[in-house]
Amino acid sequence: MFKGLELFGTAVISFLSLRTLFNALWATQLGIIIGMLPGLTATMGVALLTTLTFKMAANDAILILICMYVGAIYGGSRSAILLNIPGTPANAATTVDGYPLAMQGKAGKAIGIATTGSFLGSVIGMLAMLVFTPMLGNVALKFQSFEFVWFAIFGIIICGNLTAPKDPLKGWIAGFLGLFVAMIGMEGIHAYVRFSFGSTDLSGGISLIPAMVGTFGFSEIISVMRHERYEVVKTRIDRVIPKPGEVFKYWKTIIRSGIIGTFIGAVPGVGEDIAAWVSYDVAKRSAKPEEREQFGKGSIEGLLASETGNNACVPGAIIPVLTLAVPGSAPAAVLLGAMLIHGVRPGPLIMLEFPSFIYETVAMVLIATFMMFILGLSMVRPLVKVLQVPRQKLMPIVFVLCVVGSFALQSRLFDVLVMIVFGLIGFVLREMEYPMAPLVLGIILGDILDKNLRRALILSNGSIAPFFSRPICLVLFLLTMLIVLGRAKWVRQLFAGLKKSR
Amino acid sequence: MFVMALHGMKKADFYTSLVLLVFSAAIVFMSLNMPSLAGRDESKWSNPGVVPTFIGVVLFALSFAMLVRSFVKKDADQYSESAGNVQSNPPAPAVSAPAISKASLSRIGVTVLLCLGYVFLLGKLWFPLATFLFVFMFIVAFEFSREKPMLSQWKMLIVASIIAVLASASVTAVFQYLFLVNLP
Repeated sequence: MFKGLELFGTAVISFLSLRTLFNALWATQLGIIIGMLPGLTATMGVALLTTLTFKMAANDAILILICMYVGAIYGGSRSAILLNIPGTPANAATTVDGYPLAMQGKAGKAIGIATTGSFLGSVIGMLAMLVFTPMLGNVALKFQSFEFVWFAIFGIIICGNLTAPKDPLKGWIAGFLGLFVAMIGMEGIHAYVRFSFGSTDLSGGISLIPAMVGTFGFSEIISVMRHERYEVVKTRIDRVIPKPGEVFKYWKTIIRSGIIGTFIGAVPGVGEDIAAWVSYDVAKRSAKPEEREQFGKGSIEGLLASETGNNACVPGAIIPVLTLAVPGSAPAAVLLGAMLIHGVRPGPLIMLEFPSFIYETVAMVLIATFMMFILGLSMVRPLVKVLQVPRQKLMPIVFVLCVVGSFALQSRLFDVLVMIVFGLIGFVLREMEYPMAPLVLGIILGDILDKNLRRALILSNGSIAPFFSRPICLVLFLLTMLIVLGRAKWVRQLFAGLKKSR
Repeated sequence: MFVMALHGMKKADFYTSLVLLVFSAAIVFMSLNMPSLAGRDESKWSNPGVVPTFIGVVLFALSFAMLVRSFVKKDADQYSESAGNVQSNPPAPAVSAPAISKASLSRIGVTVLLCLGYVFLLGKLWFPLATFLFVFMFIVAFEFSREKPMLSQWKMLIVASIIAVLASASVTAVFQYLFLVNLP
């Protein structure tokens, strides 16, 4: 514990150089701007910066990406409040109370509350990251192939369940489609080329970053362009810095939303949007009756809950990235890819190979959080002008960035085509209410499933008994079954019948 | 007959499930035809087709469940209401519009065509020139109005040209010279 704190302190001090702070400053500000603009998500921001920073030193590059991630998730609250359009999907719950506050002439106050909530959420998540990452890392050391197989399946099932709450079947289908995408190209055991149909490009496999830029960038551009113009709410932005009493009156909501956000962040692939909605939902249910009536009409508590929840999710989503090499959210998936590009190998062995990197990452989150708080409470009025840039002038530039971002890592035009195809598929699937997060998670978990399922079957000589007899496997299997059966209509009817008969 | 009775999302689910059934069956078929390496003293469980077969089978089962549901489900909304939805709050407007109007469809079409055109030009045309043309055309395509006389729209054309030049030059400069990234 003390060793951990010492490593954390050393990491913080090592980042307090002028160059590092300058990098953190511009990356967070850029993140806020990208988050603010509908059509530019945190995932795309992190993906584009991965391209820009891949020639930098690992620590500099990853700090920049984390600052972009934290900044973008917070930045989305601006457009949620001022346009009634979440800048990133993470801020959808923020529109519910943020926009009514802006309509009441309290846009400045709403921005201040959102900033403070995001800051506190990020701090809670960071503390959880500091405590739980080494603990989870030690548990992950016990994972063998059998456990990894169940973990990959559990990840797809829970991600599909939570990101498509209306219809988990579509979430699961998206997840298994993602797993299939990961099967394309040369496999890792015998170097056999699968599903390439003679194409040299396909035999190299589908790269994660172009696929994600397409899914979260190009498809978002199409979504933005399909709508008529957006109107920025015409309101005076006066006092932004909130009074401490206005915020700390809701300390229970802040802590609760912070914990919920962090926990949901740590669940594979689920992400900030679900964290914000769940935090908002729980805050609404737990609120006093007179406060509950204000939810949806401009409730400070509701706004705090959603913004605390989504920013707490950011450090939460990095916990499984470091310990299991499984992302907690879509931007964290890109972050995982960036870590691999820079030679850091996250996963169960991180506690043995790069123990100090865990604490360095926590220190990066701390720096990003403070930058976001400072920048969030300053430069509010000039940044509102960014929202007034017409989308037809902005989106072509965003598309050019998508193209460059997809191309730059491997200098292959094929990756640009991958981005286009995934963008179009992503748009169509989203229109049909298929969530994109399980698809992306599937692409990452595919390789883990492929290697570990085969290794496990070789070890057990084809017997499936160890998949159910090992303690961690049994827990993961039962959790998976609980989720699947919990969504089956006949099971719900059975339980309803049992309750009635009592 | 059955198809006629299906509506909206249910209809889409029906067709999607059919496509997915064929797709997943093809995955299983191709995976089973992948070579076995048992002859080379390797375990048959290390065969490259093992995991894709598993994925194909699960995908087939899920698609079949969706096909069955598209017949059985009475109403899509009824299911979602009873499903214990965490997103019970109204989603943000303008983000999840349920149907695509004719005007939206034409905007989507123009966007996709322009983007595909730009990608087609990459590698064939000098990157800054292709980027200039793309940004200029994109702005003009969405700002040009047939109802206004051509002469009154010169200002829009000049602004579009300036933005296109600035975007093309700055992207090239920042990526190629500042961050030393290769451009298409």
